[in-house]
Amino acid sequence: MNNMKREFVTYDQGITLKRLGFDERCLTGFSYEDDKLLAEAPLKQQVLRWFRDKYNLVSWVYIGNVDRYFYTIIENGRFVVDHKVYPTYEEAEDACIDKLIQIIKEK
Amino acid sequence: MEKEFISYEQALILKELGFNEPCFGWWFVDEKMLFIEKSKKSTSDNILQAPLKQQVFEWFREKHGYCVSIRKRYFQTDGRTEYNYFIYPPNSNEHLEHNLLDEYDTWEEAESACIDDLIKLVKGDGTIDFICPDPNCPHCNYNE
Repeated sequence: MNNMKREFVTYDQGITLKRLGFDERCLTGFSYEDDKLLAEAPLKQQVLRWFRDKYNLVSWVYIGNVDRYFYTIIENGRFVVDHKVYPTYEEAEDACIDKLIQIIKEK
Repeated sequence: MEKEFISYEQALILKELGFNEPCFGWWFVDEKMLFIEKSKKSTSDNILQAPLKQQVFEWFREKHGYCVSIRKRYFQTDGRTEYNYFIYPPNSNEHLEHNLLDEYDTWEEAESACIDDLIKLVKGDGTIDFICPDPNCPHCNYNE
């Protein structure tokens, strides 16, 4: 559990979120080797809260059975369901964030 | 950024339970003051690691096998919404077993109560009803 990078969204997600208006203060940022800050690096929990508060997009990961993870998104009371199965919690969470980004991009 | 972290009291109990991971914050114990900066594993009694909420859920998942979902419920009859949480016991071959009895006004309240219940489970304090009280629960029927 020592890889602290996993607490954050990916670089691609971070850049896209910035374009979509995410501008909250973050614990750290994405940078090149020369330490030039490219973008804030949001925590996953921060991004999921941002979607809840700003767009009323509520999401969670759940277990369908042992080692079978799914995610659910609720948009204004309507379920956005992806029936795809993910082998780990983290993969389901990651896919969920991608889907949330996609929903906002398509608005 | 304080809201990203669990409470001081929860962190204190988690330390007793063996949580000792690098964190992005720490408390100076004498003053219960939160400092937000990267810290390594705790080496001093005056320093208490301040875990992120998501970090704590990861720890319970990986170290103790408990997975959780914080959820929002809509009531179509009156438009009311509530938050609750499901706790999935380790290596459960059943669909899921969960605590549906308590409901909360905000996501954050449900999240904090869920962490308290996880702590109780790992400490072995009290009893938590893991039997779904709803015979028509759509989640429990998911794999049937």
